[in-house]
Amino acid sequence: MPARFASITSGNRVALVVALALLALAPAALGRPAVTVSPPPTTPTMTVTGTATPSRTPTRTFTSTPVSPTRTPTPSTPTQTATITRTPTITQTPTRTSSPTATPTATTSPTRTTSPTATTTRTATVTTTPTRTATTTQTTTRTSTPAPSATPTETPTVEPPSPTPTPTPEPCTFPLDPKSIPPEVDRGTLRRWYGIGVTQATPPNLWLGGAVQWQNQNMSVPQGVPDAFIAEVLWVTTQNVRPCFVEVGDSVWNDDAGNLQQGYYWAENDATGYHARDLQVQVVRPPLGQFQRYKIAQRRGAYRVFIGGIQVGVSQQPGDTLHVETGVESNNVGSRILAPVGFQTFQIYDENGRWVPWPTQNQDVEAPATWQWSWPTATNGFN
Amino acid sequence: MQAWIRRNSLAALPLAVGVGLLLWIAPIRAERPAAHEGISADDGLVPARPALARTGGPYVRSSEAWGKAFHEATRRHVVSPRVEKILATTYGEVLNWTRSGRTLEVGLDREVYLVTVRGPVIVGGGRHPLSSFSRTYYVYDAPTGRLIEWGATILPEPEGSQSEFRR
Repeated sequence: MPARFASITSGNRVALVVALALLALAPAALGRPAVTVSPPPTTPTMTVTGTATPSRTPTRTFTSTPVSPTRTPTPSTPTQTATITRTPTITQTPTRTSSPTATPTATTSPTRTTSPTATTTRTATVTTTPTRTATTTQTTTRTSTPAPSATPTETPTVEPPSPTPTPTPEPCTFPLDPKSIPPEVDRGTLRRWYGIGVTQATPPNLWLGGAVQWQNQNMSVPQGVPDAFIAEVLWVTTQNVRPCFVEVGDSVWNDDAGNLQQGYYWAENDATGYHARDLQVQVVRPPLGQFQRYKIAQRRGAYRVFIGGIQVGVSQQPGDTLHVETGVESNNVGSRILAPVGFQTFQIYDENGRWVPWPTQNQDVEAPATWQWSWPTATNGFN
Repeated sequence: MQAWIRRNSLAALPLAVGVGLLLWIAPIRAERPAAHEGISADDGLVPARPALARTGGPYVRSSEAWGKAFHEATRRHVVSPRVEKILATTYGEVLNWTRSGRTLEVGLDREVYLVTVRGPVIVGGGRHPLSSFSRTYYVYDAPTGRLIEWGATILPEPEGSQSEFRR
C-alpha cells in the first residue's frame, strides 16, 4: 500500500490531507455552530421571535387597565352578577333619566320588542329603566328622612350615603337632549331594523375582537329618502361595555343627487363621539355572491380594522370586547337586499390571541330583516 | 489508480468546502423568513403607504366644501345647522383635533377641508343608545372634494383660521 502512494508528490499529499480534514470538520462544525460563524446571524433571528412574544404581553396589560375603572361602578348595582348582559344597557339609562325624553325613548323600545328574537335584549332595556327609577326613589326617601329629623342628630347619618347614588356616566354615552330632535322628524324615522347574529363574552374572560365573512350582494334604499341607508356590518364592542364600539361594513345610501351609492366604511363610537370614515380607494369588492372578509382585532394596544385582509383603519380605543355582532341594519323598511346573503367563518379573537369559532350563536331579528342560523353558517336578508 | 487518487483528492477540496458552507448556511436562511411571515400573517396586509398622499394642488374651493357640509348636516337632521368654521388643513391636523382613530387610506399630509357645523343632532339609535351632540364635522378631500370622514362630537371648536390653501 505505501509503495503505491510513493509516487504522489508532496504537494498533492498536503491537498489530500486538507480535504480530508475539511470533510472531517464539517459535521463537527455543524454540531457547534456558535463557535465560528453562526453567532451573529443566529442571535438576531432568535431576537425576532423573542420580541414577538412579549409584545403581546404589554398589549394585555394596557388593555386590562381600563377594565377596572369600568367595572368599578358596576358593583354599585347589587344584582349585577346575574345580569352581566345588561350592564351595557344600563348606560342608556342616565341619558334617559336626565332628560324628560325618557318616556318617548321607552316607547321606541317596545316597538322593537315586537321581534321575537329581540325580546331578550329589549326586555333588558326595559328592566334597566326601573332600576334607575329606583335609584331616584332612594334619593327621595333620603330627602324625606332629613325633613322630619330636622333634629341635628339625623343629618350626619343621612350624609354618608348621599355621594353613593351619584351615577358614574358610562364611557361613550352622551345625554339625550330633546332639542336635538328636529320637529320635522317623526320619531319613527329614528328606528332601526336588524337581522343579525350575536355572541357575547362571559366576564371576566373578555375578547380582543371578532371576524366574519359575508357575500357581496346588491342592496337598495327607497328613492327620495335622503337619510335612508342599509348596511351589512360587523360590530365589536370595546372598553368592556356596549356603548363603545368599532364597526366595519358595506353600506348603501342615496347621494345628494338621489343616486344610489354603495361603499365600504368603518366607524367607531368613542369617548369624544361618533366618527365614520368612508373607504373608496384600497379595498377591492369581490364579484356578486363571493365572500368578503371583515375583521376587527386588538393588537399592540389598538383595534385594527381589516377588509379583505387589508388594514383600513386603526382605533385607539382601550379595553376588551364584550360583544361581537354581525348582520344587516337599516333605518327604512323600504330598503332591500336583492338576494340572500350568506355568512361564514364566525370568529372571535379570544383572550389568548387566538381566532376561535363563536362560542354562542344568538340573534336579533325584526321583519322585514331576516336572520337564519345554520351553524357554522348563516343567511340574512331584508325583504 | 494514482491518477484517480490525484484527481479525486483535488476534487474533494472544493466539494468539501461547498458542502460545509451549504450545511452551515441552510438553517440560518430557513429561520429568517419564518419570523417575518409569522408577523405579517398575524397583522394582515398593511398598505405600504396611504393611497391618498399630499398633492400640492389643485384643490376644490372651500365654498364647495362649505356647501357640501351644510347639505350633509341637513341630510343628517341637524337642527338649524350653521357652518361654524372651515379650515384648509391636513388629515394629520384633523386627527390632532379629533383624538380618535384614523383611516389608513389617507396620508397624514393629505390636504383636506375640515368643516364644523353647529346645531343639535341625534346620533345612534337601534342597538346603540341615542346620543345628542351640538357639533358635527365633515372632512373633505381637498383635491377631489370627496367626503372622507364625518362625525358628531363633544370636542370644542377646532383652532385655526385658514380657510383656503396658499399656492
